[in-house]
Amino acid sequence: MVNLIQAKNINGSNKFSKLSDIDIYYAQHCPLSLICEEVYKLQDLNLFTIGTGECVFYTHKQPFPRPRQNWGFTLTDRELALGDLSKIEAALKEISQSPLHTVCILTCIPTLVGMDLSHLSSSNITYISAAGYIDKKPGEVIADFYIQLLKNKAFATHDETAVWDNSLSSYAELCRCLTAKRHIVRNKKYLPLFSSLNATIDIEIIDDSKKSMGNEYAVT
Amino acid sequence: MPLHKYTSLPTARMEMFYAATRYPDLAVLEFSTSGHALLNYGHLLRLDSGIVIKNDSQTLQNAYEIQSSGRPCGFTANPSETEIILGDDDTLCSALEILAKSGFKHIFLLPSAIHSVIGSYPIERIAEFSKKLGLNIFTAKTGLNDDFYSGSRQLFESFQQHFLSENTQKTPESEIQKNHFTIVGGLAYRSSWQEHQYIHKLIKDQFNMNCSFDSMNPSSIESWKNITYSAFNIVTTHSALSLAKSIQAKYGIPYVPFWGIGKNAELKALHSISEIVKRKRKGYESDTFIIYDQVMCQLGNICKLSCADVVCYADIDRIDALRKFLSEFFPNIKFICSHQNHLNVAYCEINQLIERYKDSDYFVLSYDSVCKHMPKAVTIDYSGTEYHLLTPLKKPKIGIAGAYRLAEVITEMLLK
Repeated sequence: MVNLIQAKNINGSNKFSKLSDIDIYYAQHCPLSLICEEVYKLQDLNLFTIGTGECVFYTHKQPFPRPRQNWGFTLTDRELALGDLSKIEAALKEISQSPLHTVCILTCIPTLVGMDLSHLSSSNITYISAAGYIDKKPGEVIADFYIQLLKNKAFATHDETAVWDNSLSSYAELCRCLTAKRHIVRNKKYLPLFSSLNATIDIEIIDDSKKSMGNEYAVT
Repeated sequence: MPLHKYTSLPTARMEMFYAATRYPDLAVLEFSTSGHALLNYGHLLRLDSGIVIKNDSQTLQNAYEIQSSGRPCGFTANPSETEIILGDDDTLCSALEILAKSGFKHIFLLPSAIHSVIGSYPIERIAEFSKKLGLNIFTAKTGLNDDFYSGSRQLFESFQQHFLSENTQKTPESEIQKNHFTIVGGLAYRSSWQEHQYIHKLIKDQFNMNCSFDSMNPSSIESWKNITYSAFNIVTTHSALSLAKSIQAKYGIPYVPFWGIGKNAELKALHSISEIVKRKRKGYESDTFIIYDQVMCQLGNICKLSCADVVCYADIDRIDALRKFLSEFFPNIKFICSHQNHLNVAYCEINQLIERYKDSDYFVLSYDSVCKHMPKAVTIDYSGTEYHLLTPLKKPKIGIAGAYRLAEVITEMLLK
């Protein structure tokens, strides 16, 4: 199936025109774009993008106010041909000194060459793979982001009820909500997170997402 | 420096994409992951008559829309994981077939980051597709981390190779040739369209000549052939200089560089044109130069009073233009280029420059994304990462108009 998308004249009624009988998909953001938006919305996270010049340029379009950091690392022959990750390691060490948690996104090229940063594990950094060539729907990318971001956090420690809706706007808030034993999920993007948690521990989840409006990304 | 803490500049592929999508009958096909071109570049907001890009970040079905003079021409085809691993090109083949069916005769295959890593797309395969589909499919060379400037140069070379081939004959001298000129150059990311419009008007006013081809506002990719029947060729960036030299050697069409700022630069270019076309220019209004000299005298006084140490950081065209214009106003001025260059101007990566000068007393003239980190700075160019409404559209940064514009912003900053 060909995913060929044509930009339509700005005065046209449809956003994309169909050129043939082959299915034309609507344009989708690349996973980097989706995760970058989620990170931006959570107001206490840094962003560290590893990829090509385009990835770094694009993420710098997001204005992260101080003290948040929005750094990028463009891969060179040193990393790709020689496998020397020392400069990335130094940069990650520097950003991990920040009081804020950092999300490190590995885009297409680092994923393609199998870049492994797991030995640089730090409690202050979450690594997310966001390769555009891997067939994933936008909702799945975002759901995976929350699973990765919160996977090692303490949960179900307090006899409280947390509401997972669009008002959650910080990483600290997400971590706090996770400690509750009852969860009302009003945004579908959090549902896969609870599916993954529910498999290991008994927590009460109320799926209220169907009644709620304003889900930006449908998880299918 | 591969670490970007503050900002970054466009890449070669981005410059190629923006420059190539200006041609309404040239399909620009990116065979890469998830549509860098279609989506990410769409955030490079530009108010420019050549291209209008609209981005609605509120919706997932983000539209990337191009309006040029004809139909839109930006496409993306995404290879699957399997295709990347096995090196298959079924998707590319289908995409080319669709474009052929929709009537495109010329297709520019945008170099992709993926192929820069796993190996360039084979030229033989492209030739095979061209033959099979009866299309002119071509690409351009670029490395993974090439800068926007080298992207511009490589694209011009590619266009020259494919649209001004050895077989293109020089049109016999005619009335058309005597009354037309062409413009090559410009950088898509920095809205060079405004500068080209300024040159159009200037030459029309001074010599009553029309432009038959403008690389920033082309009517068709095939209009490249118009270069062979023009009286002269205006070059507005160093990236197009080797193209202009080659056209002069092959077709005997002289070129005139025009990227300078100020009265002297403008008059020098007009004088060169006058000698080529063997016509006297019409001349300016009587008080034009009196007013200009007075304004520049005022600027000189203000600059001398400020005793500022100045750093100018820009691309090589701006540096070359400003070096001649600003040196008389600021004796202590340093020029640093944002990319490797052939004029031996010191080069510094953008983040290193910000790191070096952000806490200094230097007065910085640079890109908007650099200036926002500096205590005293004036924006002389746009990097594309900041959201500015670039209005009005007709404010060129070259010639006499460019000098006035620069004088305004410099005095405003120095007198603060």
